Amino acid sequence: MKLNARSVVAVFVGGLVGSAARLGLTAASAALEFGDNSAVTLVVNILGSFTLGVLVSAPRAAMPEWLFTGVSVGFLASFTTLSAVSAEFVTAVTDTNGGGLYIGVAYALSNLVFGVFAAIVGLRAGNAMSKVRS
Amino acid sequence: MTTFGVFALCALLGAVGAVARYAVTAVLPKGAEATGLLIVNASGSLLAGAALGLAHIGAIDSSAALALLAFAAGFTTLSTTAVAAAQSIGRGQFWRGLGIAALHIAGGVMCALAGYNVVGAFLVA
Repeated sequence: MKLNARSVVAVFVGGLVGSAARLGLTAASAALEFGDNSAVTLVVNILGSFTLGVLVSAPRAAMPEWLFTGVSVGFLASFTTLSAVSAEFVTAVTDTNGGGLYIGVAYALSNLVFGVFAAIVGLRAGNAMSKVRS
Repeated sequence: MTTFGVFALCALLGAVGAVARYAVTAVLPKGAEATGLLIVNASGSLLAGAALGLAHIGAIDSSAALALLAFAAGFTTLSTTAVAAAQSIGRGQFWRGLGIAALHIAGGVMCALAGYNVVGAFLVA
């Protein structure tokens, strides 16, 4: 990977949109009393891992490199997050209302398992698209 | 600050985090991107844990903690790690793939816990 001005701008814009999308889902979920932040983080991580899997394996001859970097390194990588998983683990373990160690470990593991599984499904979906195209 | 202002600031900090992550992985020599990403996820989790620890002991207010968490959330990533793990699994290296993902998650969780506890201990002592 090489740093150039166009890619940096693409990553910044992608990161802005990805972060806003994640924060927006968190705010919407809070307003609708749909679930707590940890549920949103898990859903976001599953969606983002699936989409990145599709993106890296699908045909992208028409997509310029800076745009690919903006969507993958900028948008999808910022949409998904690991620090929120870690922070929610800390809250589970340290907060008296947090659920304790087992909940924290189960939550971290579910992000791992479902995130990787979603990425596998995404890669296969992208590969299938390549075969249809060719 | 208005609710929208906080939202916009958090999204902006997430974008700064994304550029910082890109810079860290881009300056490393070719082949070291995976290590770079592990450093990013570990240090971002450390920062998130420290932010929670500082807020818990009252050293920073909740909006400052929110700002640090917003930066860390954009800085760290799960999708890139998940796809790297999935690609290893796709090549038949199941345990290697699972190991990559486990290393990031376990490392992140432990760094966040360390950040939370060490920061608190420093300021109370």
